[in-house]
Amino acid sequence: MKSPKKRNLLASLGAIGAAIILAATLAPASCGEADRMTYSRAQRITSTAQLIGGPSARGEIGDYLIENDHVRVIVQDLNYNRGSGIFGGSLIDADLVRLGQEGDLLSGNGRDSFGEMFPAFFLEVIDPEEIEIVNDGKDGKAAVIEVRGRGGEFVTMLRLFNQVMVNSYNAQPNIQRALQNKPPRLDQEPQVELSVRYILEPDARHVRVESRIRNISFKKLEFPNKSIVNLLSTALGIDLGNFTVPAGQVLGFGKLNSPFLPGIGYDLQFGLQDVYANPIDLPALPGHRTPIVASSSKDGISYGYAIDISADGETIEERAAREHFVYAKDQEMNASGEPFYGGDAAVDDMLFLFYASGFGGVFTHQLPGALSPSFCEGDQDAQTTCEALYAGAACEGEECQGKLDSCLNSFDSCREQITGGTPSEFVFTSYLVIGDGDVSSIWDEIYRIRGTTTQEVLGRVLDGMSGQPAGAGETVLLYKARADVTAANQQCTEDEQGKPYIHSQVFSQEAGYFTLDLPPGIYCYRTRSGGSVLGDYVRFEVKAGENLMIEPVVNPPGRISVKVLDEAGQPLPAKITVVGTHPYQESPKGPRGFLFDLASGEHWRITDMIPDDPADPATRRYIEDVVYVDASGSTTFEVRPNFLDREVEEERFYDVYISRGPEYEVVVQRVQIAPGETVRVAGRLVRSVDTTDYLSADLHLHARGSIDSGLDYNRRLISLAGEGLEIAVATDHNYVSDFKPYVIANELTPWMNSVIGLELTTFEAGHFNAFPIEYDVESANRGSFQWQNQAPGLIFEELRQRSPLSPSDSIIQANHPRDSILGYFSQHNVNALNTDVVLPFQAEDAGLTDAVAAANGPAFYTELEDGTFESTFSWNFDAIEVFNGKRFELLRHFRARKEILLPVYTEYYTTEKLDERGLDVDDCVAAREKLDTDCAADPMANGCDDARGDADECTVAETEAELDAEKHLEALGEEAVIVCEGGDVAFPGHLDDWYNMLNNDRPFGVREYERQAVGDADRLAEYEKLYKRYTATGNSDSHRAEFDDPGYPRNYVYVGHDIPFNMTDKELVDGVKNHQVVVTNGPFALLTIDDTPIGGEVSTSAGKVSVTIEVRAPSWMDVTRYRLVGNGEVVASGEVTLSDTTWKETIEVNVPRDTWFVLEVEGDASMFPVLAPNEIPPFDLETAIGSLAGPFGFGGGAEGLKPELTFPVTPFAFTNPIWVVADGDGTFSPPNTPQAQCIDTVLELDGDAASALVAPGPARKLGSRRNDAIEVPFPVTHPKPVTSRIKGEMRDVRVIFEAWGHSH
Amino acid sequence: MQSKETRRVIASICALAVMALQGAPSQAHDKAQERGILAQVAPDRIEIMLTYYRPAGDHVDLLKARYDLNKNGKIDRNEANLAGQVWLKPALSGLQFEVVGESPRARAPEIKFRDEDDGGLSMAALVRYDLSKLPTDKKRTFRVRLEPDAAATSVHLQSVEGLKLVQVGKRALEKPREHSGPYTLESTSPLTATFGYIGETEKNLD
Repeated sequence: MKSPKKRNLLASLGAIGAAIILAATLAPASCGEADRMTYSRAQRITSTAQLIGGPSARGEIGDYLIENDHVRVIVQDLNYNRGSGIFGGSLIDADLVRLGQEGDLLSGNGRDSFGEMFPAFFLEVIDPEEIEIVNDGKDGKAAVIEVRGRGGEFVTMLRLFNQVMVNSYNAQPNIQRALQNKPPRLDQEPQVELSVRYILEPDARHVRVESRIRNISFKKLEFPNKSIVNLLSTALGIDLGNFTVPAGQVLGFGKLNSPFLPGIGYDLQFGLQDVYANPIDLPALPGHRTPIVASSSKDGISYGYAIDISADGETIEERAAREHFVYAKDQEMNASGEPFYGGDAAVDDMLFLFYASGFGGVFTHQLPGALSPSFCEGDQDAQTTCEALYAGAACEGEECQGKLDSCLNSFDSCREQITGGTPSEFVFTSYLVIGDGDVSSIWDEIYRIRGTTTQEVLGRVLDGMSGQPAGAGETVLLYKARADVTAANQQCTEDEQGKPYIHSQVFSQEAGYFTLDLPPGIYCYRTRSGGSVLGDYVRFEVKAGENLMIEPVVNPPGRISVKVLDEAGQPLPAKITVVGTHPYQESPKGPRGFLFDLASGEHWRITDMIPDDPADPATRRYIEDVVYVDASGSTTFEVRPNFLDREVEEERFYDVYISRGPEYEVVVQRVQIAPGETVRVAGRLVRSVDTTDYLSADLHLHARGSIDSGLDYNRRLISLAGEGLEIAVATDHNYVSDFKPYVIANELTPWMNSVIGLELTTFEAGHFNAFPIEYDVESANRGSFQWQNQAPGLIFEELRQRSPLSPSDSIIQANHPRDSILGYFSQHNVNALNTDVVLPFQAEDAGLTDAVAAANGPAFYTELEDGTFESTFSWNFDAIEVFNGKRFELLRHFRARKEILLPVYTEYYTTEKLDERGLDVDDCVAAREKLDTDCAADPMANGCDDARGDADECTVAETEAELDAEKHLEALGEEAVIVCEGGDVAFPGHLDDWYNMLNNDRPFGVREYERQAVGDADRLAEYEKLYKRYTATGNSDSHRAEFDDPGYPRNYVYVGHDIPFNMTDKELVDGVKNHQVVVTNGPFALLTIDDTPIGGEVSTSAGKVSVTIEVRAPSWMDVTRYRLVGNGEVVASGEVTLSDTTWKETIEVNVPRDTWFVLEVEGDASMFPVLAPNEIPPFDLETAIGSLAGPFGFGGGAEGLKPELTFPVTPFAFTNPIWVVADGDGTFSPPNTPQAQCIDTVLELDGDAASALVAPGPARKLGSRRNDAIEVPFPVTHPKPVTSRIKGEMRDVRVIFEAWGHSH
Repeated sequence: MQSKETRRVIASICALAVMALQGAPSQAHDKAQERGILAQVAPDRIEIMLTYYRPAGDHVDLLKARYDLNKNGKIDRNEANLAGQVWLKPALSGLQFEVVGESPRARAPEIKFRDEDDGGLSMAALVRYDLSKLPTDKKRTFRVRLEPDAAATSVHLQSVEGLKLVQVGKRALEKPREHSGPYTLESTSPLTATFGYIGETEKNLD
């Protein structure tokens, strides 16, 4: 951290030379510095003037502020969580003290960009019950705030698992309940108290964080619970005998801060992925070992986290070997006799486990093996102690007598345990450091805390073209020199054997100056600057007591200046995409191995995802940069020069694409740019696609109000205008944002409009958009509200009540409802084949894991008087977000073809054939075993005839089964079928869900709790109707601007005019309510039936209808075919041949029954580069949880039995339905098709269920109908087989044998 | 559980190899063959995974012609059990396994085949032998011998469930381990490995 002394020094450096700089650093501190008053205080916030403020500030009146002369942090009150977590009491704002700076009228003047931080005891967090100002700091000492409570679930699915690990509650009765297919109890007495102290010393730039777990039960608690763990060990076949329970912190440094870890720099995703690729044996866990977790941002605020390494009465090594998770595990040997973490763990190593959406998890410590009860502490005798706790005024009521008895009965054993040396609590300590923007400021403070010997390094960044000092904000990356080479000229080089170890980062200040502290040693630096080629490594040495100055040079950037006009010659917002061609280079990491360096902070250059051909540069294209042009139609930006590459055989150039969404043609201009050169590009865009009466709308957009976005509202709106989007609905997570002031301020009103909305984001019970919604300027989150433990129907009703129009004039949209833990349908167990809603533990085939691992609590079910449970799932939403971003994998239920299913079904039929003979695998094993043993010695022994008979039967059955499997696979043909697992669709998709809901009445209309919450009889009557017409939507769910393709997909909503800024909220609501929506990531598709448009209803008695299909698309987009879907099945399909951006055809379709029709349109060609491929694999919460679950035998996946997650983006559009009433009763009756289910066999020859809309045949093969689904006979997410033996690793011989052959 | 007295009996040496049990003669040394053994010792059993490779040629072609019943070019599943009866003989040729003091009971081997990139064919066989549960204060010695002129063989040793490898040959290990190898087996000297409980108590094993 830079002291005020250093800051003053930096401010004056611009006028003096290097010699003076060095001399000045030796000068004594000024009198002002010495006399500066230090203080620390803690207080409850009573006015907005005490708030911190800033882009991510969430503090509110009633929260707790701790501040000193350098830093300020806010701990939120006990009420509901305003960040991303579940509970109050977490640390949510953090900033430096910024005296004399202007602030926000509604909050403070700070630059808080902090997310949230709270301790994790394994995966259990604090459900706070009390927050206390332990010391307010008036005594001149540290200010202290303590948050105390019981164990709380971050993810309710882990409730029982946490109870076993942390003893938060007694797991034993919940195991019993699980055996009865009941979820864990929610009303148990806690066994431990969890607490955290935030301690701020005067003059410190860090908060000391002391987390505590204390046994408050009457018995000794083991961590983990040994008796249950032994059961688990047996059940899972894994050794948990030496498992110790880790603890640490959930760290949300905020999306505006770039996380940095020594060793992997800014490349957390692949740095962690590389770690996960190497399995590690329990009791160690996978993760990146790091001495600090840090971040950087150019906004003058950064955060860091490190473990305390002080020791009292022992060496730190002794303490770390007992308490620090990584160091302790590294003292133990794995099965191969090697230390778990390689033997070089340091006492300050932490284990960084995951990073997603601005949040990371780090394990720092491990709990002791046991904690004694704490009630008997002190010198008092049993009677006095127990009565003080459980008698008289301290405790009243019947249960007190029981506790008093327990206290007295347990007292002696409690004392015995304590005097025997078993502690009653465990405290682990770490530091939250607040820096001034760069990583080095974090290191500086940590060095200061630990008393590390360092030397100040001064530097000045110079411009490589002019040699003049560069400005502020240039990045200098600091590396530790390679230790595996000794030659000085190799220590700062990269080769296959090694590379320098990234250690820190510093930003230049005014006039290019910077300063940082480093321990003596040999280092390397290099520079990174936007639009410049990454600098070369330069070696330097830091010697104790010797001042040092370095002068890094920034490579000069190239520049592109762009002017965009419309057909009338007026400026036009647009997107500029700079596309380069990279040299052919083989790298196991793909383009990230040579095209960009994520570790240094360079951004990903997305490629065309075409397999690279050394002879064809057109296969090696990538996106160098994306920039949006605002209403002025012009911009200038820096880009890496490509002129230098003329030295290689292939000529390098950039193709600069100017685009403006799917309604406009694209202009391309080829340029070459030398370092320091500015190239001018101009283009006139032509709007070629007619969308008259429809406006394009993205109903799901994030910006600054979202804790995982933080995107500036201006950039949000300019990026959307550049994509040609006309209606932007603001839907920040649990924060109401209003985009309109930014539409106006950026002069975008000729092109677009906005609507106020909200994404009500629960942690594991679904995400729901609501619009329009009231904007409450006096609320910290501008009008969001508590969702924790609320049933969805109550959330929907609360959202509707907040509509500025009326509760009836509001849209509730279920967002990405199949997105694993974030999906409403997934978490509420909506059947993906027949729309049933059954609580997993009440399903017919429910097993132990359904009760143990189901999401639980009042958000999911109500316990009825008869002891059964009723799902709280509510059907009273209006729209389903069918198409989310580029996530094609969530569009359809995952289907597999025969080549994927071959090995699965071979095994399946083997089992079946044995069954037919009344045999199973065990019988065969037993028979053959007998033949090999007893009968081998004595062929006439008793039972040998039977064994021989059984063995022969087994051989025949196995042979037949194998041949049958082949035969059946031939019968399957080329069709793909839905893959099921455990009776459910393994990977459900939204489009199939929506079709099912259009096909069927709902299983119920309104739950009783909803009936009580909705007072309006008219609305209730509407909700009670069992057939509901849900509107399908498609939205980008964009959190960023560049490289995020906001506005894809989008909705064309019918409003009856073409002037965005004239559109009212009511028009948008009506368009969505009336299903007048076309969903697309490119093509514009229209459907009319007997002249009735999308969303309408047609009555006919003719038995057939005239269907008109129309497709429009710009010339750069490939649209190949259409499918007309009737009641969920394809009833007509054909080629689309665009002529002058339009294609139209009318066909006749039979309608023997009431039928709804949807038009699907798609193309085969990638939309690169206008729409970037989905090349970066996701790092989602499942991955994070999987990193922990892996060693426990969960996670992984069967090869080929899960959807691809990376792919080029191709055109796809679909309309909302037109309903045709054909039976003359004037009312549409859904087909209520026979309920599809997951079947266990490949062959399904039937005719009776075939729809009249589908040409019936004598028999059909499985796969020819949309909902044909096949149950795979083993878990699609079973543990990944061990593919090969790696050095130093030991695996059970059974596992090795099972894996043998798979790897080949 | 057996009594400690019973478990203390220093028992006879028992030949475990299937080949030895079947009494088949050893085959001549064939340099083209490769085989390896992974022996895993647990308190109540020993599991041996034997891998055996033959290069492309008549042997491989003949085996496939006879046992690739579904003509998919591979020997898999129940075909492997049949073909395995043919290949187990040469695969085990010249090998003898012993556990000091035990009369192990062999279970039926599990067998797999896989095609190698060079056209050769490999077989893996997993055999489990049940043993009396080892008392916590005792050690278990496993020995593998190679007859003269038998095919070269590499041996990996490992232990599970609280057992650790404490001695290989005449040399006590510096630190008890759960894995060791590979060792090249020579006909002149058998490979002897001793396993024991290190740092475990009867209580927490139970």
